[in-house]
Amino acid sequence: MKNLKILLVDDEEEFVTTLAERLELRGLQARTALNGEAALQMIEADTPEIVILDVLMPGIGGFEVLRRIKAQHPQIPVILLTGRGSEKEGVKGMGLGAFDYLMKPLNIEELIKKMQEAIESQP
Amino acid sequence: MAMRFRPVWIRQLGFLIQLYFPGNGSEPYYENTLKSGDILFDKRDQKIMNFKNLWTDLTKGLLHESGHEATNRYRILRRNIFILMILITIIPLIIMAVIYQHEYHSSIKQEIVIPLQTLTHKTRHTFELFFEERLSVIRFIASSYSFKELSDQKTMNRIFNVLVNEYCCLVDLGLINKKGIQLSYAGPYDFLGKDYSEQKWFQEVVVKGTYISNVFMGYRKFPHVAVAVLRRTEDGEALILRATIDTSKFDDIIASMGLNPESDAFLISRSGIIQTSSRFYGEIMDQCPLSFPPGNYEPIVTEATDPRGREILVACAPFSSAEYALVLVKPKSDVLHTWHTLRSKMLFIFISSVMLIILVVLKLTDTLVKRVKEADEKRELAYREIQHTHKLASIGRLAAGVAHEINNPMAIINEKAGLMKDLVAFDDQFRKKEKFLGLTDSILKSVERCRAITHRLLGFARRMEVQLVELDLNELIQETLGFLEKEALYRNIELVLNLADNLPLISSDRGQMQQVFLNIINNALAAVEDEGEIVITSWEEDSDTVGVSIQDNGSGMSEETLKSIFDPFFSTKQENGTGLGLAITYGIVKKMGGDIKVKSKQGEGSTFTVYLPKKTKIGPGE
Amino acid sequence: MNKCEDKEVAFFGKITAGITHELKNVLAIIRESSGLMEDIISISPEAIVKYQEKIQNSMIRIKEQIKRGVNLTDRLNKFAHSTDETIAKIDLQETIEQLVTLAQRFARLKHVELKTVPPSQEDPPVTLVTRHIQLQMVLFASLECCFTVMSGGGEINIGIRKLEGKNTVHVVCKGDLPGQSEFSRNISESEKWPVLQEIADCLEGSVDLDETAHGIVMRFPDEISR
Repeated sequence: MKNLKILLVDDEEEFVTTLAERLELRGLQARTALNGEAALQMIEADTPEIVILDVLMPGIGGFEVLRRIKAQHPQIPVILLTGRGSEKEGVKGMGLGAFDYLMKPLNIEELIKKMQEAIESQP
Repeated sequence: MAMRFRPVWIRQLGFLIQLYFPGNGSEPYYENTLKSGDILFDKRDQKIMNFKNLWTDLTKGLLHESGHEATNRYRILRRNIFILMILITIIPLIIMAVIYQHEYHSSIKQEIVIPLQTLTHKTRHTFELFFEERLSVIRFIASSYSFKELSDQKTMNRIFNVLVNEYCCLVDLGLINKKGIQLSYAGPYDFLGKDYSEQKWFQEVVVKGTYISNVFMGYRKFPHVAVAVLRRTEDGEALILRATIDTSKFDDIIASMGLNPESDAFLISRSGIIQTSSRFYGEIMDQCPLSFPPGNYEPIVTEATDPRGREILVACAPFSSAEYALVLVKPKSDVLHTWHTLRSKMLFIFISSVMLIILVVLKLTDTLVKRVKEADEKRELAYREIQHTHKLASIGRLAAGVAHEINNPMAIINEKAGLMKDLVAFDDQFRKKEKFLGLTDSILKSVERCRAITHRLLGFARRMEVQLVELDLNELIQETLGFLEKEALYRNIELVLNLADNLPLISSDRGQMQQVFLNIINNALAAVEDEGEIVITSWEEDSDTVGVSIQDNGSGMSEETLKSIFDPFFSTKQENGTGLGLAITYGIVKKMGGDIKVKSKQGEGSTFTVYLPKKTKIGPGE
Repeated sequence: MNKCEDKEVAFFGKITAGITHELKNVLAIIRESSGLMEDIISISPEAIVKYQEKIQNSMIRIKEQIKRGVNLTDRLNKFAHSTDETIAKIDLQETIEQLVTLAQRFARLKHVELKTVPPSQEDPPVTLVTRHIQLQMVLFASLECCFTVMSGGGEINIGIRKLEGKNTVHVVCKGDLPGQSEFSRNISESEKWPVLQEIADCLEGSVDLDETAHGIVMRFPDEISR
């Protein structure tokens, strides 16, 4: 897990940068993107091994990013971040190919565990 | 003019008068907005336009409610329906009754008049036959016997005796020569040798050849009639045979008419002297008090009033062969008895029909208006229920939105605090002082964000009771936008606010105004594409009104859609949307005394404009 | 038109306001905790070590409050969604539990503890087709009734019991209370009692004083007529 290339995508800058810092303290390198377009660009420039993706974003939106990732880089597992009471979105995302979803506010331990599962599930 | 205190119809009558007779100094109600320079309309068009205004005003007063007059509406409706139904049912009834009355009257009259005429005609004929018969006997005698024979008294007596036996009513018989001297005479009087040359009858018989006299009082004061014939012999002698008859046969003939006791029939002379006994109009030889039209031969029936005050029908048939007229008098009440019975029957039916109609119409109108009122109330109730449900649903959605929104800042606080914990855990030295300060600062910022969100919800929740308040529309719009900003942000929609400074406050219901703007702005958000633009403008329209427009550059609406946009259950969204949002919005704005207009062009966008009065017309508690 | 609809909006506002107040409290605590940390850190790096425990406690508090805040927004969300449909299929036990959570803050002010009686395992869940908001209103009103007569505080247990008929909700009060008949009289004379009866009426149900215990019994039909 140590050198896992993680990409965090969320429009809340404070949230995503702090999360990246916390992951860093745990030895996990994470890049951040603040919107869908930036995320896709970064994926093209330097393919990550896992993407943590917020569903509710301005611009092209989380689901569209998920679709494109799954279209162009199907091997990259995506974990969705949803709001509370939004099981529907999580289920929809999994239907579109996401590995799983987590509700915000996050439990970082849970996130790390989920990422491990996702990586292990890869062939 | 104290126009307020006059009833509506007087005012409208006044306008009509002013419309066609202008220039009496006072201002016409419909302001003549044309100035002298305008050549757009001529006077006639102006009148037509004013008439149109008048018509709308009239019908508005009659058919539409307007606030406080709503309560009178049912009274007016009831009155109008009642009057209309009464008129429709009773006027034909009256017309029919009048026509029938007229027809019956004339036909009954006919049925009375004709028998009278016939009877008179027949009886006159009988009289004339009688006279003719008498005359022909006398003529026969005058022809069969010579002058010499007739001048012989004995012969005369013999003839007389035979005649008396065979021949009714004969009183006397005599021969008169051309000089007017009675040569022979058989009868009760002593006329032998009498000179009649000066008498009118003699002169007449000489000229005409026959003579029938009027009645005169004769032997023993009984009425008699004299008949005479003239025969000129070969030797130039004039043979005048004269007979006197009594009038008993007259009475018989009259009796044979079979009149009822109220009627009367008698003969009169040309000068109106009664010739036979009359029941009511005088004795024989009296002047008949009734007047008769100048005679034709045909019997005429006229109406008159007799000296006793009775209304009578008089038939008068002048004789052609003698100077008599047969008069038949029947009292109107008698003959018209059937007519009167019929008429009173008709009147009874008419009155009871009218009463029945009035009763039925009253009951029907009552039931009808009651039903209308019930239906209106039900509709009002249903509308209010729908409005309530809609309101509650939109409130619910707002609150859910808030719950959703708070999530992000709380997630941030969570991460920040988590990071702080991590730093403490991973680094005993606590060297990251600035870092920590930065983190706590972030936390505080997020807390502030949450606070703002919850504050908004709290304010909204607190003001959920209905009340009439002085509203600052700008502030209300901004508050509403606060709930919708996130969505706009996510979709990169630009919100442009051109809110007028010092926009006057309006007196209104906050909850309902929120509903209105929430609905319109939500619609604009739905209509517009991502990266689109919504422009909200507020201004003071005039001294009584404030205007707000919400313009989007979305897909716009077709002419068709525009027409139905405020209709209930009309929706362009396939899946969700009850189709009631705009209908309710429209209803709220209208109830507040305002107006709402839409302009749209397909491909360019739509603009909703709401006009609100500064002083609302409804009361609280809606 | 259901005559209780007038009160629905006010009820919604009241509950929402309650939740919001609690959220504000949550935020206040977070702010204070954060502020405290800030203060300590500002003093000196050494102070951080000295007041390490305080800092740690602050962080724990923040975490707890976030958890609480999340719970609150979940509750708000659920409550907000009860206006989605006027009449809906409702799980009675779930509604009672949610309502009790919402009412806790009001109960706390009256020094009353609210507890829900867990349903028995054998019985199937009770489902009603009724007006969601008004059902919550009637449950809340029954609690309010009890609050007014429990001036010394105490405990209220609310739950579904299958003893008498199907859809019965028992509200049982415990604590320093007068005798049962006097208590019942107090309830029926309280100002909330007619309100409670009116809402029960709107739901085509009934509300009666409990004859055996200190409390109120409410009955509801399976399905409300529309």
